[in-house]
Amino acid sequence: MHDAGELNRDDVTEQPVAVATGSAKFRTPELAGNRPRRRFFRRFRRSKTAMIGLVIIIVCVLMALLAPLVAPDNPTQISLGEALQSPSLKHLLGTDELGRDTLSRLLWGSRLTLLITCGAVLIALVIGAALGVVAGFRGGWTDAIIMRGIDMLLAMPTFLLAIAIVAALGPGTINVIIAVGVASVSAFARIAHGAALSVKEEDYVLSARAIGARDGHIMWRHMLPNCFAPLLVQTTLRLATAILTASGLSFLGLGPQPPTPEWGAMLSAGRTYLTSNPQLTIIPGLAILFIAIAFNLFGDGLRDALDPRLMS
Amino acid sequence: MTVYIIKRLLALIPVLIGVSIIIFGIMQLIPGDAAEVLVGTNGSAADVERIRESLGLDKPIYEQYWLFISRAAVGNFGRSTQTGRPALTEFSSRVKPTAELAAAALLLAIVFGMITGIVSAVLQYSVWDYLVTVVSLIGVSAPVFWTGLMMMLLFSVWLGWLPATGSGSFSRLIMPALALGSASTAIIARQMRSGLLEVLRQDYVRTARAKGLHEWTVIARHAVRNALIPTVTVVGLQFGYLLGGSVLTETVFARPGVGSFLVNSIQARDIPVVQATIMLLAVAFLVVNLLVDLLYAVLDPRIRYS
Repeated sequence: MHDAGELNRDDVTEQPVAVATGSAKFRTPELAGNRPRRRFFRRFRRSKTAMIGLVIIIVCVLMALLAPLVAPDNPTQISLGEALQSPSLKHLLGTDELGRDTLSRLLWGSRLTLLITCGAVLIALVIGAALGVVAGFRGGWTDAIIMRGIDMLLAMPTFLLAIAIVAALGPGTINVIIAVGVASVSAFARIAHGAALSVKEEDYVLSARAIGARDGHIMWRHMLPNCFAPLLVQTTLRLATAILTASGLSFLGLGPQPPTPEWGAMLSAGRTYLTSNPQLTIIPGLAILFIAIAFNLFGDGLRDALDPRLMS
Repeated sequence: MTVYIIKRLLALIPVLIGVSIIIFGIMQLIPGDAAEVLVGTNGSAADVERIRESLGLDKPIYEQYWLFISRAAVGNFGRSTQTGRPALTEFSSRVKPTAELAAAALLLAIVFGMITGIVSAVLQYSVWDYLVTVVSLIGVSAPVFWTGLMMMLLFSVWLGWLPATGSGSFSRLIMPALALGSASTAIIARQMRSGLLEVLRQDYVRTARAKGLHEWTVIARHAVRNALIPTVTVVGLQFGYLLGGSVLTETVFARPGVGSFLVNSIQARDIPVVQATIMLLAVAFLVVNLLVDLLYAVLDPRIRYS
């Protein structure tokens, strides 16, 4: 919910973006060699905050993948006799109102939370990049129609747009992924469009045209890879926004339905017991906060490593 | 300037039409028969037929859109299926608490965001700068509903300083406004910091210093004003975030505003109200951003609109 990137929440403006140019980094691999890549990795590794972000993300992904192995209990197993217990050796993070182990629900919840977040951003990336590159490459009416459509989407606050879509489709995991994904398309389309405009005048694109390459081939093989850098940065920063938007929708009861464990829904259920069992609210919130911080740090680090001119 | 305002107002029309198409299109995604959804499970077949006719659902899609937009243009968004009152009336009766909340959050965000951003830039690489950077990062990464609940836990449950829920008094506005404004404060602070750092390297700042002006005079009179333009853009965009965030904040603090009403309407599948609320909030966002554009001319005398 936060456009935010919050860091880059809704402030998506079509600025000149760091794209690969014919003379420098991120040219087609066979031309550029791997020196720019090495320089990128060196710069990225030097950023301590980006590395912290990366470590948190890796831990979260491992947590999600290994949930069936490391979770101490079944996350949906109701045990009313153990309801609302404080943290103890048996239940390290306590239990919820139905006696379910909070740690197990947190671990299993990371799966769905990350799935929704990554799924939504993937949808936004694929649709947004395709629209942006096609608009930038074709120009003329195609560009005007696509980009005015994107402007219309940008005219609506992201969270409201996501709410409208979920309101129409109905609550549920898939619908939240679609809603957050579609609400984030405009950000990717603007960035891909800006990048495509810069790239399409490059020599390698002109050469490909000159030898009669088809439009689809030029866009897919030559333009899209060279719009990769800004799209990658936007993807990581958008993950932070998407997790906040998606957990917001879940908090409102529009996401995955009980008893499925998901962080936003866990937080929403826990707030009824804010006074007696605050850990039910604090813990899932902290989980969302940490992963959002990690995505933001990682995204900032990527941006600085890919284009030091943008370094804050 | 007047010509520019008129031009911008006219330019709003296609955007509004576009937004209306998006909202109308989204509402077409409702699975099944919208008339049946509106009538609910207790309605008869005759009720469904009546609703279908009154909403024009038996007509082709373009006629349905024309009906929607021509009615919306005169403020007719249909009637709430929960109360039977016009959707616009339902919306209007709940605008005040939401407007208060959004305005208070924006004010807090502007004041705190600018002050911390200026301090952070002026004292670059100091403890304060690092502190502002870390707090800003937390501000943009924390879910607004969680921030609200944590404030409630601290200030209402543990310290007992502020009432936890409700609206109608200043003390009930403080926590929701702080929670809602926290992310915007962080974003404005970051923008102000980077904008000011950029401006402080400019020649005219060096000249002002060379004239022997006091450092704070240089910052206040020469640097901050020039760093304001990108910050104002961010402030305008933040308004959209605040409108979205108000939905969550009002739910957390049980404030009877447009946001909480929207959530209730979604749960009750009250489509006319959902449609009206989202459309009108989008209009509010567009109008605020128009005002922000006009503010540029005030801030920067070099900008002259024709």
